[in-house]
Amino acid sequence: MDARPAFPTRWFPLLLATPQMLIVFLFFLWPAVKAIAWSFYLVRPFGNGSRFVGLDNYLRILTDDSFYASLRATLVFTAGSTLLAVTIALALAACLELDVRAKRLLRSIFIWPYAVAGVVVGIVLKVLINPVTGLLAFLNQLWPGVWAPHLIGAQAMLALIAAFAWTQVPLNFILFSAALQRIPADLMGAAAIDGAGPWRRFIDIQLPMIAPALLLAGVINVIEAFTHGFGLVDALTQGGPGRSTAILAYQIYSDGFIGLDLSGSSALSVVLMLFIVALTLLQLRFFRQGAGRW
Amino acid sequence: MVERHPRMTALAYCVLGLGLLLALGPLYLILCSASVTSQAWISQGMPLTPGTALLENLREVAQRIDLWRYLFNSLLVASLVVSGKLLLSSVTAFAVSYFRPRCRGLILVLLFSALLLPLEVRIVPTYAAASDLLEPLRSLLQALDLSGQQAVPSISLVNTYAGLSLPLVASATGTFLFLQFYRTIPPELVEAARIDGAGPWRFYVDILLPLSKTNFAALGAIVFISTWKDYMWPLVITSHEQMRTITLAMASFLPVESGQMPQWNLLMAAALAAIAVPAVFVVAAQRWFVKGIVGTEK
Repeated sequence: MDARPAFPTRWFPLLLATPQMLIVFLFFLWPAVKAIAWSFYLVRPFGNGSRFVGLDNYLRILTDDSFYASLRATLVFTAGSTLLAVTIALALAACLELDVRAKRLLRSIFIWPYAVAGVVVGIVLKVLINPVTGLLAFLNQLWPGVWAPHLIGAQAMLALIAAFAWTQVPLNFILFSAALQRIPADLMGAAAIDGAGPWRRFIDIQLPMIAPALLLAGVINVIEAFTHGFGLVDALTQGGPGRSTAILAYQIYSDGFIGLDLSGSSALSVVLMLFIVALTLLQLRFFRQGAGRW
Repeated sequence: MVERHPRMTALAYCVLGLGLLLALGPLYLILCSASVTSQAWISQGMPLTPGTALLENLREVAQRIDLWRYLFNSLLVASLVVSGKLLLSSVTAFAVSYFRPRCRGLILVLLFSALLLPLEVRIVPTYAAASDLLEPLRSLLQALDLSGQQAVPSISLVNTYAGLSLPLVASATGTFLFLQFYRTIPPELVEAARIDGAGPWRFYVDILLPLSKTNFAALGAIVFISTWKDYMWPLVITSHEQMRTITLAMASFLPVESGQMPQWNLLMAAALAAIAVPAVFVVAAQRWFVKGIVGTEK
């Protein structure tokens, strides 16, 4: 990259890069700057002017219980779905490395949920977990009122976590399978000759060798849950019951577009932005170490 | 492995079987629910075996909502975003790797900032930006205390295909993928091309593009699916029904008031229609997916 350029022209490349730069400026940077600016102003909706209020918006959300409810929901949702998705994907990828049949077919089947959008999962699940007609309705026939995800926050959260993990497994599975296949066959063969069984080889060789992929998948899952959890939440629970499942991405949307509280929504945006920046930097660190030429 | 571990293999089959159930179970249940009549739903509850009314249900869905229109919208927007992203990513990476453009640092910083700012965290101001495209220009004039602010027209992308696709075509990961790929191309190739008298554009079209085919396919496959699955942006940027994408239209099929008795079988048939295209695509283009995911995320 530091060698002299292949072509000496200096203005032509600028022309090439301009369209993308323009789009990044218009739809990424400008809105982000605006969110930061709005977070220091009290903005009235419908363009009725605004007033500088300093850190008031932040103080307002930081003293508001709903912010902590939202933060808690985000953390539980993110941690739960990430752990679940990583564990399931790891189990599937590791089992496929053993002496089993129909590997190719199984691979295709495990990948297919990647096609399903979060919001579609949410809608389908709404039917499947319906307390009267759904799959778990029999629980209510045995013990009336025991399964009520529309009333009990923890049950709604459980459904969200399971559903989001379902959508995240394929990506992790692909990452883990690729990492497992990069392990030299000699290494596994040598361990087998030394008498290490499959379980031993998994713990002592495979797991440490794919540790970077595990961490990477974890970080990606966390970012995905922060951002793409929105569709699922909007379709399945709309943040309820109460505020028990209002993750930050959903709160930003509903404060801004439904509550028309641009200032509060922007302050939340800035908070979530900080989370994402920290996570992306972490991801890039893994990326650089993993690829080694970045 | 050469050695046999019957118990371990049995355990593996159990785990894989469970995975199979988890992956295909929901699809089966959707199929069952989508293929029974409304009366059957009401009298017997959720079906666990497939019925025979799938085609009728689909036909009814197509009558109630403009299914073809939504499918067309999804397909068009996904294609626009895929072609835009591929073109912009590769051209920007080309500019940065094979030239020493002025403000190269600025270009990389801008791209990097795009990586840090997912749509979900800046959704409200991005909507504002898309509904008044030239606002930055107006603000600039205002800040410089120049006249002519009033002359700047207000251009809104709300309810347009441009609005649905344009804000999504910038891609930091895509550009970084191409940057990385171009670095693996031996410099001798450029030298040879230059000696043969090829200018930069010629080199890009005749040499780089054919070499990047795999990257195009891999990145394109991922972008296509993620655009198809996108929900938040189409939700805020469209208000007209005929501009909705299929994923968004699906959600509107839910009853608005809780008192209304939803027709679950129709809802599930609509879900099936929304899933079909991307599912076939994922299975058919599996090879490119794996390449793309391992390539862009690593």
